[in-house]
Amino acid sequence: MIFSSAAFLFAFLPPVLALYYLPLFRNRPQTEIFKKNLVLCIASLIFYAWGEPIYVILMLLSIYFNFTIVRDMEHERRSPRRRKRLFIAAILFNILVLGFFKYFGFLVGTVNSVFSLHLPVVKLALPIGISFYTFQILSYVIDVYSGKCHVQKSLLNFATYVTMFPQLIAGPIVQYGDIEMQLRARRMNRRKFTAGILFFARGLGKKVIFANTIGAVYTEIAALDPDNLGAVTAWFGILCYTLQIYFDFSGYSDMAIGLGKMFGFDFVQNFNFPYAATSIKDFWKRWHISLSTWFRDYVYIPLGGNRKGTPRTILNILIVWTLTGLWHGAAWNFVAWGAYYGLLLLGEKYIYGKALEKLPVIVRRIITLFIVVIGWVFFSAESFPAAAQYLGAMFGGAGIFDGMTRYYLTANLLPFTLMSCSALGMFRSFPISKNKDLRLVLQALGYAVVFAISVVCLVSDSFNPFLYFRF
Amino acid sequence: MENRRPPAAARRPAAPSKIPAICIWITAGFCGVLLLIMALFWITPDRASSESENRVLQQRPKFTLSAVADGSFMKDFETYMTDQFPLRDGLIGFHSFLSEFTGARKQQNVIRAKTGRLIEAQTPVNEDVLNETLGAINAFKKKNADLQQAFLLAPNASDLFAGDLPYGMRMDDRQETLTAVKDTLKGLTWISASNALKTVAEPETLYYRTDHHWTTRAAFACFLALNQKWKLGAKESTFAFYPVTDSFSGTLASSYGDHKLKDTIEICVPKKSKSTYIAEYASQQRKTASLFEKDKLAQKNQYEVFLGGNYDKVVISTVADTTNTLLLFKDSYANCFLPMLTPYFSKIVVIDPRYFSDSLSHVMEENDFTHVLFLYNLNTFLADKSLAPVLQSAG
Repeated sequence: MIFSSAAFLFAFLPPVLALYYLPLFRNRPQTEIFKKNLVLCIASLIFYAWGEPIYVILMLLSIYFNFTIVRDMEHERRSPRRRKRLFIAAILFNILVLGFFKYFGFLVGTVNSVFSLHLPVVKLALPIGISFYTFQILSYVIDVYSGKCHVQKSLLNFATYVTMFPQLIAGPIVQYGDIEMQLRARRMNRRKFTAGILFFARGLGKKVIFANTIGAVYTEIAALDPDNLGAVTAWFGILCYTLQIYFDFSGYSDMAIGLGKMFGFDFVQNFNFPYAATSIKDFWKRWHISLSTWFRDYVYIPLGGNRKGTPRTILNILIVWTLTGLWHGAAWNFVAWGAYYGLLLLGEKYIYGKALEKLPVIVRRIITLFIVVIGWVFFSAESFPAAAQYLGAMFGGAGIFDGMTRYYLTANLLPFTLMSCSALGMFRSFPISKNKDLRLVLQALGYAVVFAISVVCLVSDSFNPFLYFRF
Repeated sequence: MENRRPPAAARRPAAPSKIPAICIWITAGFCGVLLLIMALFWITPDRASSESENRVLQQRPKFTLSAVADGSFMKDFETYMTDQFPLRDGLIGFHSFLSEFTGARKQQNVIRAKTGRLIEAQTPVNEDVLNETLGAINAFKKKNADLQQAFLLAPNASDLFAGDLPYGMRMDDRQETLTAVKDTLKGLTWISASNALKTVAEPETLYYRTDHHWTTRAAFACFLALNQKWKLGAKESTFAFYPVTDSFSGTLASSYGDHKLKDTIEICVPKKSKSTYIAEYASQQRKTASLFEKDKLAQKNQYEVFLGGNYDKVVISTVADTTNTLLLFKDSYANCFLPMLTPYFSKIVVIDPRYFSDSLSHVMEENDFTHVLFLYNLNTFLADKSLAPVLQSAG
């Protein structure tokens, strides 16, 4: 189930909220939080099983295994060697599960092509959200091992942490340490609930109104023959994709944060106007923040970070970014995309970073955005050659204009401009009103309109005329 | 507008400040709307089908273990929610208004011209497929050199109304493609549809505004051109036009989501020779005494009034006093064209290669044809993969 669907909004969410807030055990806070976590956990399992009726078992097994092995690990406090062995076993288990389901086909395919073999490729459907929840579990295992957090004694609380439906299938990746306390006690009040509603409505609008509309333009342009694609159309197409992926992903994160707040949780921020970044380093501090933080905390720093000399730092950065690329998908264009950022970050760190800082902010922003947009070409393409072909069109391989260029530019001028300004954060400091209460009222009214249009859009998405007499 | 608060872990619970009173209203409003729509959804009766989309709507799926295990229950349930959403048609109409309002003039494959008519976008040319087809036609012509063979390739609305496309949109000028096809098919008599259509006084009436087909008027103009080349002896005055419906809303209107625009369908028949033929639908084992199916006017797809739709093979026997017999390869553009031919051939075998799976050699053996006509529209012909294999099956 995805948040931006009629089934989620009008069949799943209302009963879950009602059960969650139903005052059954008001008088005893302990039982109250137990009931709330239970409702949330069961609802999350239904939410997950809705999309993965079979793989939900895999997730449950993974939860149980990790819960027990970490508990056993903490029983071995007096024997560091045995503790370490259990820790490594837990890490290996999670990496193997993720590796098997996500990368096995890719690995066999690569081995086949390198050694010209014909090993059978097992085509497994990728379980939804496995990359996200495996990373959350790893965060728990590592946080407990490193002594940052206590072992979780309640299976229910642990299962709630892993399965929690607001962030289960598309993040943000919550680190266990950030949420340990909230699993036992969290503040729920009207202010937080209201903030949650506004977050959710904004996220829904970003996804359904912005991302879907501009995404349709990109899909249409990407389907055109790249040999006849004018450079301006190609650039416009990839800029539409640039907007689409931002609004899609940050919209989903906003909905997740909003839903989290409705249930009393505070998740970390995941996006902070990434397209306004002034350097690539800055970009990755603003884009999918929870993922880059995860790689920093659980891969880069344990590898030694920048504390072991320059050659080791370079190696660490390249490892982290190749893995980041691979995390996004099991294909070589994702690896290339990750390595691209690794190399650019190294360049900034050791070669031209100082020179870059001397340029005016606006120039730095343009350079950064240019690099990011080129990166999206590799990210969006179905394969490496397809990406190269599209890049060719962007740089004038088929002329500057084509027959549709002016139509695309004019017909989408209004939405494109609006979305660009929004993505760059130009509306952020919009002076609504100094009065806090009035501001809230106006915001609420604005988001009510956004919510209404979103519902219109998501119902219209299913408009599917049967073309009975195509011929 | 992003969440600019620091991560939760870094924050200590602050002393609770006053909660704005408005929060209760926002919370109540949000929960109220969710509940209201949910209630409306369950109260309003489910519809069986959608008139505007011409399809059966999803009904509430049955909850069974196997349907849950293979995920079909969930998929059907999500479709059910959107298909049966309260005020669904109104919301969709509002959405297309919004999208035209912000500047879009193209939905899926359909373009709204400046004049308000809907135009089908051009299909891209597939050179390999086209060359294969043209080669097969030439080979067929060579083998049956004694027959009179003609080719009629109708342009589409996008060719005729190129000047009416929305601002900034330009489509390929396909005159070159047409000329290339004509030059490749040297052995066949070329009926220039473009020239024939230019003779019609009101070009607006040549294509439906809501559908991708040409109108009967356009077909008639091309019929006169064919008549001239083949010397059939038809006179314009011996034919009459009759409107049969003025509520036609075609495929383009459906794709675009425009339910207001309507067209009139006319039929064109020889004044004298009514009901002097029998049409035999091979695959359906059905015979009729008319090339028009009135029943089809009651359904959404009113263009099917012509020939009842598209069939693999239809054999038309007439009482025409002639030894001329015709083999016709066609797409749906020919369906409104056919009745005009009936006074001039004693037998017409109509083959739609897209549905024809038999061997053409059988048809050739059973009949002694004098004429062969290929009738296609550009959009279909340029991407057609079915004609070549059928022609090759003639042996």
